[in-house]
Amino acid sequence: MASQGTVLSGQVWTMLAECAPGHSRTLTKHNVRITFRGKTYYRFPAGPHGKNRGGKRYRVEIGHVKNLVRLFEVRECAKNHFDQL
Amino acid sequence: MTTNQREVQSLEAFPTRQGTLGKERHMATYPLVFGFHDVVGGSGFWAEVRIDGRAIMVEEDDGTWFYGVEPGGLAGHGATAQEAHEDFRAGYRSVLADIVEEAEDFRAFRARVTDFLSTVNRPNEAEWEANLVRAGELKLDWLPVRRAGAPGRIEERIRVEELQDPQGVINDPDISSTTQSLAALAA
Repeated sequence: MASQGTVLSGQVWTMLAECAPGHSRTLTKHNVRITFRGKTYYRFPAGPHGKNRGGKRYRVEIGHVKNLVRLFEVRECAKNHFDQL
Repeated sequence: MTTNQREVQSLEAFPTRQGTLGKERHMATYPLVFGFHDVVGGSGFWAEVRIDGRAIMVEEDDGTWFYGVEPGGLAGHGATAQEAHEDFRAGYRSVLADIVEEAEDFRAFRARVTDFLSTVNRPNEAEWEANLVRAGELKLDWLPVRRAGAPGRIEERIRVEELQDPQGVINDPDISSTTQSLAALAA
């Protein structure tokens, strides 16, 4: 897949810190679960198994980020972090 | 697993619809309805989960995406529509697996699964409604068209039931089945 279709997970966490203050992230067996203002995104990619799973340094397809910011309705803020949005 | 699998034909032959989501523009956006039916086993319980859900299928520069409307907290991606659907379905199952692993009992499982299944992605829903097709206006040979009525009560769209005797259900070939259709306005 083209690299321009992916972003670093750490960039997503930074975006959420600004655009979804108070959100929570939980690493589950298969995914990262993210909750903000009573809504939960259940299937955010957790990355490959290993030390970096759920961390800052794996790549995530931008479509998952698009869907996430739509659910949380924070797209206008998130566009400051990701041009692809 | 029984799936409603059909050979995916090229979408290039079909008229595209321009979907917009704010300033986003997609090559083609299709409103879908789908049905998933699964049986899962947890800590001392078995459960049957059915949903009549909605999603939008979008062709983007990096391939095809399925974005959940209801449930709105997941997406799937692939080079083709078939692959995107399979990824979406696999993602859905992975969420069920997460929830069943964490649930201490059936009540806890049902509460969490109901939350997952009933979460609506409002911007995606707006896109879904804006792209409803008139019956006959847009046709995908590999995807049947189904009339889109009002979503109905949640109890009609989502069913999470405890199974006392899963054996009679597990061997049913319709379990873990998938159906999907292109949502259409009434003709």
